[in-house]
Amino acid sequence: MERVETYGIMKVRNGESERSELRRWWAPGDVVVVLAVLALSVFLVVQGVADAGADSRLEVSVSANGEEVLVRPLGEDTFELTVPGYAGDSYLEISGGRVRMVDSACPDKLCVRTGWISRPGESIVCLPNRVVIEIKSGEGGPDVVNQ
Amino acid sequence: MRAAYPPADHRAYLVSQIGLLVALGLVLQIIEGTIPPILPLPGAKLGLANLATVIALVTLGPWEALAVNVLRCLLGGLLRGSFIGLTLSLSAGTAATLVMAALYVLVPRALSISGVSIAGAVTHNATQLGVAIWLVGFPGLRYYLPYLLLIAIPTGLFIGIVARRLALALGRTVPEEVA
Repeated sequence: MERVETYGIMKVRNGESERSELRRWWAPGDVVVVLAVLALSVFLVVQGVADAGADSRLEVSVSANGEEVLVRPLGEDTFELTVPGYAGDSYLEISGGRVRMVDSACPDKLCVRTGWISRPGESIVCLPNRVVIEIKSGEGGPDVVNQ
Repeated sequence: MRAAYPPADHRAYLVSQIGLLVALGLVLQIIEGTIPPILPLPGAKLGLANLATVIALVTLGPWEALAVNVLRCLLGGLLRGSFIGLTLSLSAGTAATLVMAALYVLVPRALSISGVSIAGAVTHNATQLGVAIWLVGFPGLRYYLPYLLLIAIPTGLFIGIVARRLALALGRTVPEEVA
């Protein structure tokens, strides 16, 4: 004897649903969904890795008297820079992905003693000469927190 | 000839069913909150409360599932008392329900309820992360997206399998002879 039950929009015939969604616990379409999600995840991971690589390009920012006088990618190349500050000139050196203050027109030389900085968020401050050197990550955010 | 169950004017039936499923979802949400997380990842949970939405979708229909979801999120948000939690669960839950309802109605033959549930879980996690990024304003969270998507596969599958068993069991409880 056939036993048909209607439950909401679902028809149950002899205990088995007429809607294929309930006939089995999986269907071929499910595999497509799972594969699509897997592919999307792999794509996002790969893209995220590439993205993170781009983010790691750091910038060095130099300001004097509160004005930014230089923003430049922190590359492997070496050069020296003279920045006119409040009390005189500050000499800084950028080399091998690092920055340091070589000399500055200040009495205490705290900035010189800070040494090399290379990581995002680090800074060298020469208060008497009003010169600030900062390393920023290209995008700001994750690198500063993570490192 | 046998009368259709539920009867043609089945508003009272729908109201009671929606109320029951909302209550079920709230209880499952509270129970899930008491279980210590298996994986130490935020957002990596089973989503037991979503069971109520999936069952509503299967046994009642897409609009009823949406109603169950919205009511459950609003009441659940009041229970937890967190506005951010309410925003996250309401947006993600509603997006997931819309995707599941669309798949369930538009592709009825291709997917089983497991596939529908997995798609819903993936949508839920993706939406939740998107809204979290928007609320917190920290774009670095997006690197977390692929892991949340991967986690959604087993959790969605689990919810789908359980929802199927429950829907079939509920289907059998419908009396054979209702005049």
